Amino acid sequence: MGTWWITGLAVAALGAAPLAAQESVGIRADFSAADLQGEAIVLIRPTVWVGAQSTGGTPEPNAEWTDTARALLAAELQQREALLGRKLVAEPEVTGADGTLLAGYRALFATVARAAMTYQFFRGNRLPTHRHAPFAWTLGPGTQRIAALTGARYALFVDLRDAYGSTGRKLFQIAAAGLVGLSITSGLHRGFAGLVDLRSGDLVWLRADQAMGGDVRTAEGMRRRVGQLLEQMPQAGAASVPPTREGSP
Amino acid sequence: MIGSLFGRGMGLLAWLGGIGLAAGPADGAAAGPFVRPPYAGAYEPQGVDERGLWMDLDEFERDLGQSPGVVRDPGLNAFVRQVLCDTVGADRCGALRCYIVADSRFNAFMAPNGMTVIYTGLLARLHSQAELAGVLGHEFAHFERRHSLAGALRQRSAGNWSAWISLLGVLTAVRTGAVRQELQIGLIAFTRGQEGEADALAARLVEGSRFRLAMAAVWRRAIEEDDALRREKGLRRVRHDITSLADDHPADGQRMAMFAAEELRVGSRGLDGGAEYAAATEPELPLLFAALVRGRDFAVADYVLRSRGEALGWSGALLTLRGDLFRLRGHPRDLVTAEELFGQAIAAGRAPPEAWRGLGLVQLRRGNAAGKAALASYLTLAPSAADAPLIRNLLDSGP
Repeated sequence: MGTWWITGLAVAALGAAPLAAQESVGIRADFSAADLQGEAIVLIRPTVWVGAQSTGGTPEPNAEWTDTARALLAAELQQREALLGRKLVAEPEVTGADGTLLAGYRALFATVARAAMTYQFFRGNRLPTHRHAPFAWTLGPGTQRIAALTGARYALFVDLRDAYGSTGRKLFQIAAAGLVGLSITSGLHRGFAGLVDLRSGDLVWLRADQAMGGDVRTAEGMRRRVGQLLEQMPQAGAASVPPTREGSP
Repeated sequence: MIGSLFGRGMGLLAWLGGIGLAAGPADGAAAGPFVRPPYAGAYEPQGVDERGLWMDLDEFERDLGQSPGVVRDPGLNAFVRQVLCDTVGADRCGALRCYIVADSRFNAFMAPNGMTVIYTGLLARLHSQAELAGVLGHEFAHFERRHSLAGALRQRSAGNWSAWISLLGVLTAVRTGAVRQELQIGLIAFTRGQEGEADALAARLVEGSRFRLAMAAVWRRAIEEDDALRREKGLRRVRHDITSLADDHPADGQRMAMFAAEELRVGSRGLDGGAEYAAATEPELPLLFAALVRGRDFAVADYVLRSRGEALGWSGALLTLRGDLFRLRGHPRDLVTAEELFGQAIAAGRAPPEAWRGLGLVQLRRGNAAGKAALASYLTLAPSAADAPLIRNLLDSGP
């Protein structure tokens, strides 16, 4: 009895691996690859965080890894311009009201994307009235101001968070598994990316994964990571659009 | 700690909280006039941990710089910056960036990368340049001593030990909660020690500046404010002169006593700057007090408003804010008080248009048709106010 209680506490305290019963991609019903053809996409400054995970699970930011990953991500996305459509433009350096506008939409996208991941991708979390709801999330038509600012039709948002298990964490993982059979995660590799139609503000495509592959600190790994992120995005020039997994009961 | 505005999950940021000030006399307090050590120039973070901490903060500051929650008023920003520079020295303040953030709490912090955040709730509660110098001196001490890095490393270490101890506990069927709690308490005590160190250095910085050391009064008011809140809510009053295990700062009473002793030693030389403070903050009063007036802690808001009025004088704007505080609570007796306050505000001269709005709304609610004239005056004075259409509608549709 006493042991159970302690074990339960330890599981709660150490963050044992959660069950990943989630969908990982959503595509708006009226969006297809043809819509991307010839349209410019503005790449909103990606959110990138790379670090380590201490024995106790504390995230430790690593500036060098993050800088490397940021540069590799930019290079990798540029190489895929052709796949994405036509032109990938970088977010302009702006200040004042324009800066506040872009910062506000970066924050809004992150909030909407997280809500979609939690309440759409995870079926168990859906509201009873939205059990079979299609993927329909929007930032609102105010995004037209971003279109006017950047000349782009779409905006691409990318968010990567990687914490590599420290040696201590790995030892602890092995010890916990071997000695008491507790499953402790070591390392965290999360990513999500979304495409927003700036005319309507609609989130036309969203991809999220709580356990991604590819070491973002190397060019090879970043290629794999970006490949995973974009794999189910309607590709320009593709003959057919991958069927949406949302919307069908 | 800094709420939704700073929404990114960064554990390390948790180390940046608080105007901690210290118990016990300053190191070498009797060693003669304080001279700032020479400034070594721009500092670059060293090693993986410090660079990582700065990276998180730099990213955070990028967003903060664009946030609509930052008060842009150039006059107020220049005023705060000048007090900071006069306190820590022009060479040191060059590297610091100040952001005044709309938040009702009594807080400020200076991050290791030089990002300085001052809450409007802090500016609402202070009464002079000397008091602001004391608070900024304290935050600067955390910055100069690089407390955030030490705190983050300590937190990681405690977390690591805690993990191994839990595992050992599971293996041996021994409860480890108490041990892990000890680690946590040790961590809190560590921050409390840092706060004490920062208080001591703050006193020396102010002593070496053109300002008077006047922090004891700040902590006396913090105690009075807390007592007022507890009386209103019917909460048990707490002793302010002892710290509990969970306090990450010295108790307010300890800080008051420490500064009182320091002030006695230093004497009353130096500039108080109350009039300058009143003049610089007056144009932004509605913003500085907005969250307090609209919040749920009536006693806190009323205490802060009254203490400013008593110290710096009741301006039309301050009377209007107090009137709004009563109007928004809205008991019949509050409406009587509010009407009086709005009347006093208008009589005081240079009252903001909101005084007429408040007077009109209160009079109408009390069945006095004179309220229509007051609301019409409001619309004349502030035709493009955000609520002007609403007031117009009220005037057109009323009996």
